[in-house]
Amino acid sequence: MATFLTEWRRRWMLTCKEVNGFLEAYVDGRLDTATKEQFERHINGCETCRTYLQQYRATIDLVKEADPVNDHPPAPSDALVDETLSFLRDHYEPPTNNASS
Amino acid sequence: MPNAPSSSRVDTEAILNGDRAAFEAMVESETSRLFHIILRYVNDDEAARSLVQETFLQAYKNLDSFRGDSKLTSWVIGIGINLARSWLRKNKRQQPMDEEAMERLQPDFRFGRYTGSFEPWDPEQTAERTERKKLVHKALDELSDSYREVIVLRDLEERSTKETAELLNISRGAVRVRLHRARQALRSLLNPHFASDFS
Ligand SMILES: [Zn+2]
Repeated sequence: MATFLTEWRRRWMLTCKEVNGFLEAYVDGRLDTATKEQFERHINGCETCRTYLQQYRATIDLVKEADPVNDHPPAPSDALVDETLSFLRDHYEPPTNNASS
Repeated sequence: MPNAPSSSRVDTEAILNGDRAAFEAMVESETSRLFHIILRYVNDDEAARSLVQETFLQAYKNLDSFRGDSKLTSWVIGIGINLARSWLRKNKRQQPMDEEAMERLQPDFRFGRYTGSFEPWDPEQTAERTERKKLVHKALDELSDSYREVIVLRDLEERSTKETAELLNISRGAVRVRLHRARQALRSLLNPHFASDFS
């Protein structure tokens, strides 16, 4: 009976802690259909978890917004390629087997 | 073994045979990608540029230690990450958080429920864009390397869990756990600034 109840609870009700443990997978779209349903059923009925999910997502969005690459024009790369190539040419070891180029 | 068309400009075999032109072709095709990763890591333009150069030089000098158990480009990125790490250690940070401090930023539960309560965030209303970025970078700076780098690779680079695991040489499970803990820690650090209650 206890096993049956535990099983029943596990299938129909997740705790907030369990929902928290699924957050990364949920946001990543990795939960299987059944678990996703349970997750969303809990979220719909639990304001705390709903707010926590909102903050969790907002955190990810804020990190993306603060991406240093956003502050860059799309192509400093051509100049950087040239700089890098001439840097390398200054630092290459002299060829060991007298292949001159 | 199928050839990945995405790295068509990287002729691994020629590079490993010491073909300098092939190596330079890889430099041309990979510079921008490498620059982005390193910049995301160190958040310093000048440093990122010179670390890119140093990465390729180290790669060139150490080609004979490439074992071929990953793509050559991943191996190069790995060198870049290592150089970025040691640059950060030398140049940037206040002491990053230890595991105990990290633990304190995770939510607490009692009987399966959160012990704390949460107010919805409204970042756009609570802080200007530049201010928001500053707050986020400050929070990111508090994370230790192992947490910070999963944020960089998963949330900024948007690489898969699998790729991230390979680049960092850890299991996929470890990537997921660290990512979750890192996000939760950032959430805690940012909460005082963005909860609408505190505005
Ligand atoms: Zn809940």
